[in-house]
Amino acid sequence: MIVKSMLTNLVALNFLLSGWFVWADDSGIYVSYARGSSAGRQPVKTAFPKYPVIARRDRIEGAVTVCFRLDKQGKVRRARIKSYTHKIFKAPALRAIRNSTFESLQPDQKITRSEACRTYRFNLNQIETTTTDD
Amino acid sequence: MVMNTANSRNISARPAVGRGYVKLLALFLMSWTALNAQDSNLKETGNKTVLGVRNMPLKEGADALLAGQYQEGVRLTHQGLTQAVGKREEEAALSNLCAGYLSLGQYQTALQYCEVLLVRNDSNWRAYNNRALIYIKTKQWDKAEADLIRGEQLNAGARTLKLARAMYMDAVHPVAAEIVIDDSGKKDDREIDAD
Repeated sequence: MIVKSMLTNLVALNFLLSGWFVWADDSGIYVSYARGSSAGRQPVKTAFPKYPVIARRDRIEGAVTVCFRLDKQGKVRRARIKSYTHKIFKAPALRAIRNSTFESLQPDQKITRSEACRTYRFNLNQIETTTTDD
Repeated sequence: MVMNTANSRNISARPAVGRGYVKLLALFLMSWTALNAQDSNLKETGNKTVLGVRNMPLKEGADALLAGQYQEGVRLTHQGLTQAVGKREEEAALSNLCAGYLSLGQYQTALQYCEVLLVRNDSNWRAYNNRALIYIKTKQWDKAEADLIRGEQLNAGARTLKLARAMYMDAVHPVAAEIVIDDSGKKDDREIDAD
């Protein structure tokens, strides 16, 4: 029993240390978060972009990198698109970063990084079907 | 957020383009026909142009189909077909009958009208679109694919064809969307193609 509990904890710890979290939101979209904050501050609230319906319909995948500044309160300021593979992903990525927040600074802390960047990757993974022909 | 990925996989497996799109697609076809009917309402009388509906049952049938009254729409369209003058009206009636029976779920009958239409005009992309939908509903994937390709060759940018293609893709090659957030600041290889 104890060994099992330890193993479970080890797996959980490894999972956390690896910096990857995978889950699915209410719409069934898998979302994952790679830790490694280039912002220098840990994220507090991470808003995920919605996969654009037309992109999904037309099977478009891509990535968008948005760069932004953080104020003392950890709010995102001056978000801009740095690069993108398809314009359809620009708006959801910008919306997501603007709705995200990071750790606020302590009164004695100063802003150390001028700008941070985050990349959103929009992927479509094939699902195995159990469709049978009539 | 839902932590249970097994559940979410089921949700993801649901097609992005739902069953309601068949009705939506049919409505697009009907609206086209309604416009056609109005277009053909121009009658030259001497040096005056008088506006009026030439084939009333065809127009009313299209309106009924648009309103979701498929039985009534099909009945009126049959009437319109008997009164049809010229190739355009006949093709519009056949197209609407195909769409109407498709909406009613009578796929065999719908298929007959689509095929009659294609015998008369084998470059009617709407007929290919409708027939592809019938094949999708009856799970004849190869035939659906062939009709979609033919329709896309005739009118590549058509929205209705894109929707039909999406229905086909969701049925045959379903996908789950995944969004990855990377804060590491490393450059993504896929950004090379960025414009």
